[in-house]
Amino acid sequence: MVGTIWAIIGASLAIIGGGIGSSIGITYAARTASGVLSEDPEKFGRLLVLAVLPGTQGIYGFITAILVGVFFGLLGGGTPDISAAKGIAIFMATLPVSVTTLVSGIYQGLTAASGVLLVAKKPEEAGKAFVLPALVETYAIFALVITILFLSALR
Amino acid sequence: MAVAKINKVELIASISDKEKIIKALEKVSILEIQTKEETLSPEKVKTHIHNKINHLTEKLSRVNFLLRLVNQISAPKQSLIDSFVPPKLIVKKKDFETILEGYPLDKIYKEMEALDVKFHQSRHNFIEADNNANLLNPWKKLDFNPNETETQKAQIFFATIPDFREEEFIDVLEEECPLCYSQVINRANGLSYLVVYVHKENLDVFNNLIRRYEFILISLPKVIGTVSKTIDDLKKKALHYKEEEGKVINRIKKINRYYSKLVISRSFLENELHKANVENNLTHTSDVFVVEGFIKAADYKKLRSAVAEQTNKYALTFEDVKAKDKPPVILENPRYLKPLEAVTALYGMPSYDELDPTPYLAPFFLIAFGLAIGDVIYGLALIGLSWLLTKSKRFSPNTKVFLGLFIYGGIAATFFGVITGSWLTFPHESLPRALQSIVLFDPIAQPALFLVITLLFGLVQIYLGVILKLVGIARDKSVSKALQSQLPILLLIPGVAILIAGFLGFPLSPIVYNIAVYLALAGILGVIIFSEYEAKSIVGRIGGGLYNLYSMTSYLGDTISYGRIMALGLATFLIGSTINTMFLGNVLFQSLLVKIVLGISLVPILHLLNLAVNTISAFVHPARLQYVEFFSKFFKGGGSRFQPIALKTDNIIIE
Repeated sequence: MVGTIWAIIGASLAIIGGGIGSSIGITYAARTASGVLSEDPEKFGRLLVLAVLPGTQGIYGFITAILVGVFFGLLGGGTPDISAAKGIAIFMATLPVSVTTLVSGIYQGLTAASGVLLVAKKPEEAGKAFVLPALVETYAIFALVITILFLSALR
Repeated sequence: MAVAKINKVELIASISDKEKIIKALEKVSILEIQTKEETLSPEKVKTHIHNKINHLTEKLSRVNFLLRLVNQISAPKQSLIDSFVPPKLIVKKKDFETILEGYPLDKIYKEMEALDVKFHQSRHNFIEADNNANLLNPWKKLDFNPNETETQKAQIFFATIPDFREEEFIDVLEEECPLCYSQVINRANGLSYLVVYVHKENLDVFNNLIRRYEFILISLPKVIGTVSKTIDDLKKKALHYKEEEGKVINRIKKINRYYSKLVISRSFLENELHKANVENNLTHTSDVFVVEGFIKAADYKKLRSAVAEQTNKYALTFEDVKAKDKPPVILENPRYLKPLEAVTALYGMPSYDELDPTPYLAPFFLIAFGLAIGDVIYGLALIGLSWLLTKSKRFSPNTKVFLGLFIYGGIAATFFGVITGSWLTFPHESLPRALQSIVLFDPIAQPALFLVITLLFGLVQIYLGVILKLVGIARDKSVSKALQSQLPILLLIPGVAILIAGFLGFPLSPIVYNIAVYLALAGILGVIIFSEYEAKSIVGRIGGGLYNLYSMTSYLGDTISYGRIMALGLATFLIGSTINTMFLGNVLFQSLLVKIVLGISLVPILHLLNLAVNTISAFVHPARLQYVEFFSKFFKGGGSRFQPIALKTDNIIIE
């Protein structure tokens, strides 16, 4: 049972970390976008894309939680019995995602907010404004790669 | 499959033909006119052009003022789709050119300018009256005029303090200011409203108290008669100003019917202004003018006949350009590669003498895109939706070419969906046997294999990058220099890659292992000895070589970076399959009917959202792989995009 609790803590923290990172990140980008839209409502489509970019971190947290659930039987009926050692291992395997997504979500939001200003001044450069925040997301993706590999090995 | 050959053009013609020639050039849209810091033109011509620019600028600013007014005050309602992709107005060429004659712009402007002033006045008056009414409201019970604050012996003050400090205030006043008297008029919203009567002998004491305890005194707005009557008056006034504002807004809304005319006028005036600015950049004498610019060499005849159609008095010369002239760059690829040019253009154009990376990045970008989505139904949906969008009139021709990228991406996604067995992200077991049998690998069951595939894919692209660098050096400098600097890297990469695979547990036969060791050693020695072929001393050469060897560690990071494709692919699948399990499995609902209803209503929408979010990632991340990991191996860039003089219209389509 102790192991199960550790596994649930891991899954929950992944969702919490990604969720916090994404919501703060989206807030930064969306707030700046609202300012631009007050002057220039026609840019809504392009700015919306920038505002949702930091949302991927929350998705990575979600994927991690789902993987823990699927791999270790937390989503079906009944509670599985996971040994304490394995539970702690699962918890550790989720850490890359829960910590990295929290930080990268916030910083991607800041980068996307600058991107919003770039689109405001030079709409034709929108493509560049989309690519630059993706540089920040790289590390959340690497974290997800490692978490998936570890979880898959522990299965 | 390259950067198009450019010619330099010089056109001399009579000033009397200038307007129609520039119009003809705008129409054929094949000439980029060179801009200059300063031009030689007679004062008379300059003044004429400046007057034209001033006139157009004024008209444009009037149109912009009116459009801003429409957007701020009386914006017509927009549908959700309109706010994503503003619809385009369709206008005939003739109507476009005569748009300013079709309605009284200056009259409307004058009328609206006056109304705008009125609108702001009413708004200001309303806010002022409303604020004053609100400020006075708590003091309603005062039975004297609060503007008359001085009697012969005393002075009257008004204070608003937080109610928890009320007692403190009264106590302090009683103890330290014997000739003061305070009265609580009202308590509301956590504040106490007090009147303080202070004998003039005690004024200093009172002021000190106020400062020391940081109490805040306020002065009340102008009151005529009693406070409560003034409040009533102010409220009536506020209402009146609000009504007045409404009336003004209604009058302003009348310009809504000119909205499309204004949008078209804006486009027209912007283009006219652009042409006038181009004119300002040309060299003139009192009789002729000179156009200097760049043109795609193949368009030479088109330009000649476009000018000849207008006049027979002209001189037109063409000349080859060199890279040092910094000519603009046109990418020239077969039609099917055009959508991929957008990926290159997003990064920036190659320089004139460089190779166009588009055909080389195309397969890699599309494979990465396909792997990141990796689902048959998602791929087909992407193809269908993108194709539908290309039929819409809302998009410019350029955007439609760009949409082709998503059709290709959809095809790639469909392909990878087939070989990974992903059909609307349903689990493998539920697929028909025929579909299961064509599955090459299952990303969910074998994530490590998926990762290795993406890394190998990355390695191949990076290898191609090094080969392109080799070809580039061979072309610009010499074959021997190209081989010296790049061949060692080409030996080193496979050698080290195989050794790493062995180290990670991949079974290697002794022959393969030996070959890998020799390749790696030859590569390392080659990099140290040959890569700094331009160094003057042997120490510089070896030192530089060692440094180059050290910087090759970045190749490892570059390769690992391709692992993101695996995470993106799994993300698409896992979110999709969560949607399926939650709403179509037995997790939330048991009833078959509920599942059928959800299956045709909510589930498709959620899958579309999943597709939308992952399409953004599947574009942005593969693009980054091209720019950061691939281009860094061979591509310099820095060319400027060819921008011919042409009619530019953002929100309208001219038929």
